[in-house]
Amino acid sequence: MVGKAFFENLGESLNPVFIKEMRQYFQNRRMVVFMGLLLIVQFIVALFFASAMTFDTDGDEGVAFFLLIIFAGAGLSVLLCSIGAEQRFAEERSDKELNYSMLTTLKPSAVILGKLEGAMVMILCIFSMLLPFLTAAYFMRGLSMASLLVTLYLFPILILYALAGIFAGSFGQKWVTVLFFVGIFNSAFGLVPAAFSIIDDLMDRGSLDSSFWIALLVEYEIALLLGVMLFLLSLAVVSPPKSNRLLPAKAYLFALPFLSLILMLPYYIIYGPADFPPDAFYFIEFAFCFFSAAVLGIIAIFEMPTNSIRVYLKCPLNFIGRVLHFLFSTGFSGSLILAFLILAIPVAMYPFGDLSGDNTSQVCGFLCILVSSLGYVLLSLVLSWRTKLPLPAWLWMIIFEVAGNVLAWIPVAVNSGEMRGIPFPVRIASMLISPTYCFMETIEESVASTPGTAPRGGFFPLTITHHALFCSLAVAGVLFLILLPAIVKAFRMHRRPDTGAVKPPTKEMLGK
Amino acid sequence: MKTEVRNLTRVFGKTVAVNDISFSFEDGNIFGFIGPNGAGKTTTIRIMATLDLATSGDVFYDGVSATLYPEAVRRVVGYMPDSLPGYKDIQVWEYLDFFARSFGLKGAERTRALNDIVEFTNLGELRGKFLYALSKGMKQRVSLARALIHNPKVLIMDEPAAGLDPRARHELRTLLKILADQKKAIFLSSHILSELQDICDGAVIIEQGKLLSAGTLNDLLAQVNGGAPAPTPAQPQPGESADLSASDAAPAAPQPQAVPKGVSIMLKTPRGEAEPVRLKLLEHPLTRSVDLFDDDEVHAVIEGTDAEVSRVVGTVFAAGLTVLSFTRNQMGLEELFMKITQGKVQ
Repeated sequence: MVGKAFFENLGESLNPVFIKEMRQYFQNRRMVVFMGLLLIVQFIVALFFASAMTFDTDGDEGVAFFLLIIFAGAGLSVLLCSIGAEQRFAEERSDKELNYSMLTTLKPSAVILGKLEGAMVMILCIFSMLLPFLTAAYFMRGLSMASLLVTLYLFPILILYALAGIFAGSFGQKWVTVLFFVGIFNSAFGLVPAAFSIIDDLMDRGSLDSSFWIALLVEYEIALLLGVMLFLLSLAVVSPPKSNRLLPAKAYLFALPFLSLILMLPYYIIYGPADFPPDAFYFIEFAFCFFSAAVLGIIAIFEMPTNSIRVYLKCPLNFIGRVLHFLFSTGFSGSLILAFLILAIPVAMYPFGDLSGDNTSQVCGFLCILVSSLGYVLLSLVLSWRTKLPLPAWLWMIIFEVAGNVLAWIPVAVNSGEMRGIPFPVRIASMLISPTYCFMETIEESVASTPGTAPRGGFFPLTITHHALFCSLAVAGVLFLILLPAIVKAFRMHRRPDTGAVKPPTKEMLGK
Repeated sequence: MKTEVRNLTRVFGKTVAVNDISFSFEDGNIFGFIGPNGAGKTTTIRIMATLDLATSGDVFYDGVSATLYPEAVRRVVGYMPDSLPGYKDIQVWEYLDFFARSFGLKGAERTRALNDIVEFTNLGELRGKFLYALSKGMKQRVSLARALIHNPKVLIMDEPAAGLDPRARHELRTLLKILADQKKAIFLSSHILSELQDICDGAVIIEQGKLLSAGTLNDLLAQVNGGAPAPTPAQPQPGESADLSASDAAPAAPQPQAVPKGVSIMLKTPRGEAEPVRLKLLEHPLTRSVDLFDDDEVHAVIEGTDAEVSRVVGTVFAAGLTVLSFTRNQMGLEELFMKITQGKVQ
């Protein structure tokens, strides 16, 4: 009786989307066929390996069989829990009239979480199904504990794939599905060799040392940060139109540079103050700031200048609350200000960064890329919202990026493919308009500044990179000032309307 | 529950899909939403069902704004679109169970709601079928069950009878009448106007996003048939709301006198005497037309008030002629629609 009551309560407390997902997974013909095929193939391969065993003391048939199993499991997980989840969610979202997130009282977070839970349980199911074969692999010899634990590396990657599938599916658009497939296909080229490299390293090592756990921790942390980001972006896409859909994502992006400090703490403790790499702190902080500001800039491109009454209704009445609500609410003004606030962190830290020559150059170059890109965002928004040219900001952005990159590389093409020898002002201008050129120039300079590798035609001094950075900051500043009236106007509008006449929902409507 | 659409406007780019329309209705009645293709019906319905947001104006349910509180409004509104997902991996019962859970129904309450709705929509035999395997009529029943699973007070339906065979349409009509008897407000768009006329208490007619006419069915028909003006404004001024509620209109004033356009009488005469009867009828000032069929049948159209027509018919009976049929030629919803719309699309 107690057991029955427990399971009944458990069933009631489960997310409805999760229940629906599980029902759909297990009633999907493709799922049943693929899982059946996997089992049959595994069984045949297991028989093959077993028959080929030589019973030598140093046999390693187990290793090959083990790798085969986990990669088959990972492949099936990507196919069913990432691509499958994307397909199903895209189908559900493509017809707006059948979109249950808009027809029911389900919260968008429940929808995404239910999808994620479903995918995670399916990944576990697939690997549970493989457990007998993994055990067989262990008895075939050649496997160390380290190689068995390689599966721990796989799970965060598979969960990220599933989240990417959910994110792509949340758009309900075919072109996003195509992009997602391209991404999956391309990522396989990078991830599979990387995975093999890690496994090879583990196999050679044979035992677990601290570097194994640190690498695992790094992977889990990065997966967690990216996973939360994908979750919040999916949430933003699924949220009702004109709601404050970007608030969680913006708050998270703004918090990310500060979260990075917490994430660095374990390494600081493991390495100790003496052995902690001197540039690591600055680099990690810089990387997080770069990522946050860049994503905020991209978000700003797709946003409107003002908000809907739904958002204004939740605006605090006091000034500080109103400012914070304005910054983190949907609307490009908040995104831009947050992006520049985050950008200010590495810029302010830059003069104090204890960096080696090469690192200084790279950090400066990447800062330059970020500022230039934000400059493009500003320019696109200025043209879209401050002029009467009828193109959306994101299209302006694409035009500038393409045109800038083409223009920047023309002098290089004219100069026989060499950056050296082009006048410095042209090189600085090229750095301002083209992120790709800026990146290559940074690498060029890193090589040039390495002792003993000075090129014949003289090298690009670090001060010039600084000039490029300051120029891009100045340009971005001017563009920001042009957009300032629109931002001020948006802030003036961002206040709670007079709600005296608004009738609140009844208890029945609130489900009480 | 009073549903009030107030100054609703929806703009897509340069197209004004819905242009400042206002009307309202209350529970216990069925209201038709009529307009040519592209008139803005689905856009209006989507906004009413919280699937879309108005550019300006709002929809209120008992005074609660659908724009500001969409989640709250969804608890009292059921929306039935004209389609159903064709999932290959989910059964009818599971689909309904999912929606019941999504509305927060738990345990015995959910089981009861599911059983009731399956019985009401006669889905018992379809419980274990997959959605993709259902016919159009079955899908419409599942869609209705889905819209009603949380027992909403207002049911909004977009073309519920589209693609249904006569039997399924009859079943749908019956279900709607039962729901209206349960004091639910039903608002449905349809192109099958004869169906609407049979079940609707009122109608809203729009074209090119603008409200052309709105009111109880009697009011609307009375207007176009030349009767007394309806007690409620059928064509509201901007900012005003046309109240369609039959329940409101009826006690306030006597039912408006729907003046007939006329009557059609089919008479049987002795063979060869049809022509003298035709000539006699044509002498009467109220006779609009007289046609002969064979040489012993006369079809006459007589126009006038009820009293005038009665006098003419009395004369016919007094003359000893056999009356084969007697039909009141009142304008129907279809004629009304054709008369007040111009078939323009945006």
